Amino acid sequence: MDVRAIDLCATTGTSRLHRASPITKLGAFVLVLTAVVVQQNLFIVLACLLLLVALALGSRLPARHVFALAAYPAVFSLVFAFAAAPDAFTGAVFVVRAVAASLAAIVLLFVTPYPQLFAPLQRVLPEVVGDALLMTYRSVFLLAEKFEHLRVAIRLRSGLTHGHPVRALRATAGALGALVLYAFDLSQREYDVMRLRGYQGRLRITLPAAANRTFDAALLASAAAVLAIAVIFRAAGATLTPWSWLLAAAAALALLATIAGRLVRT
Amino acid sequence: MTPDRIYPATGHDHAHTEGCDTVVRVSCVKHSYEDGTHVDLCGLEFTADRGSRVAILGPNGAGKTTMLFHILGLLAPQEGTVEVFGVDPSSRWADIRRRIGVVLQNVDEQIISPTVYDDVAFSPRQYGLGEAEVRDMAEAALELLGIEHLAARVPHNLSGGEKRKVALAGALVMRPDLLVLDEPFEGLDPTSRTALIALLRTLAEERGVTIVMSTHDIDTVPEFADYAYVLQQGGRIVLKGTPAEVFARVDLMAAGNIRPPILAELFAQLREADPSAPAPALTVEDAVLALGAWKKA
Repeated sequence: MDVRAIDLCATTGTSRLHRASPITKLGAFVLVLTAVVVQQNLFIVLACLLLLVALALGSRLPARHVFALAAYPAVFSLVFAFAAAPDAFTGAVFVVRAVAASLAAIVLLFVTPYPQLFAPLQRVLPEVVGDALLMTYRSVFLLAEKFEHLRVAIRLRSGLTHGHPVRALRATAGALGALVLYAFDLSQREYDVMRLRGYQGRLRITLPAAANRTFDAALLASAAAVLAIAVIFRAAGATLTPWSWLLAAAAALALLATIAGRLVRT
Repeated sequence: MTPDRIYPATGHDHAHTEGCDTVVRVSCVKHSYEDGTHVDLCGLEFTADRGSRVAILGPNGAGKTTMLFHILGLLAPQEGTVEVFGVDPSSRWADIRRRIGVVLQNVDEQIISPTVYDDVAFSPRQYGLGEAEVRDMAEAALELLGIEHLAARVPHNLSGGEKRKVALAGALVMRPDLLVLDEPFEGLDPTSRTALIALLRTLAEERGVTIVMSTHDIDTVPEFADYAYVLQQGGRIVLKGTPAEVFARVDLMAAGNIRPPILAELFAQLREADPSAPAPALTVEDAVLALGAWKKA
């Protein structure tokens, strides 16, 4: 997983979604996720997925990274679908649902800097857990960099010898062990630095205000509408099912319009 | 780089340091690390007076960072005493932390926020200041270091020198009375280094900021420091004096494995070749004057 790509996009992105309030984005994410979870109709889950794809493209997220990450759960859910689904239709629901849920989370990660994402959670989590989540932010990058340096060092010193998988494995395990020790040390140093810079037992994160309140309201309203439709179709059962393909078609049109808009702009 | 905005000539209250001329005092501190390494910062007493610029010199492993960590209260002395603003920093750090700015050697570990602006604003936010005040302070600190253009950048993608400037902005943002710098010139290009030396001089001379710095960059010491301490292996403080006094003690410098500044070496070799050569000058300006006078004579 390319953490740097996620962070760069979340921090420097300029789309409306990037500039929306983190609390709004978290709220919208929860609503969409609930819609995906409660719904068992393939067309409605597919509609959610297509709308999320449109949102990702419309927000100019790096498509290669976003869709590659979103595809991971597809692999695992495919295995589950083959093993447990009674028919192809239900199996497809498993896969689309998993991909839609992961895409919603990935879009959220790509449009919200990590500390802003966890700052609202800090209010509901125990202090130490909330602060630990926020502190891991830089550590992840430092550890990734350190591991890369270790890997290069091992390679330069012929640790990853071709044709000797046991030796290579041993060298990699050694590097990982060194990384764990370094991580312990790093956590102490990071704590010291934060203490020196004013940390008083509770990290204070300032959440940016929404750049455009209308957009924030529209985002929340859209997410609420998605959930409402999902709930209505679930409650209505077979009565509305014959019409559900219309929602998927509408979402597909929205996606096509987004792609066309992007092509026109470029 | 002018400090007028972050350290306004009027408005910044240094009154609380008046009557307390010795800002830092380290008296024969001994520290043993878990791996068995002992550092005894004994010999001469280490002091830094208000508004002074003090350099700590010594070979690798001499205890420079140990000294700084004691000053910052990150280590508690097992023997001896440390006083910063009249209190023991390891037990009363909360009382003095707002008055101290820090740049550690590994600036990568000091930068903890997603953007440069957020990182510089970290300390004021932790002290609960209002967002308008935080913005004003952060912008002033960025401007002071000439890095306003980096404000929206992600720290991981900055160069080493840029990261050091960001860390310095983060250290200066709270308008500290004491700046503790561990190798502050590492990774800076010559222009940035000259500008930083000028800025630190201005902060010390005009705003009364005390600066304690450890460095291996010997050539910057004559330009930067009012006086320097020399540590030998194991931490013993063997020498204190102005840069000219310190670099004149060739024997102690050699024993401490410290190479003198290049100008001092030049003048020493000139004197070996011709005893009428002038006394060592440590800055380019002084060297020009000394050599000009020697040529005329």
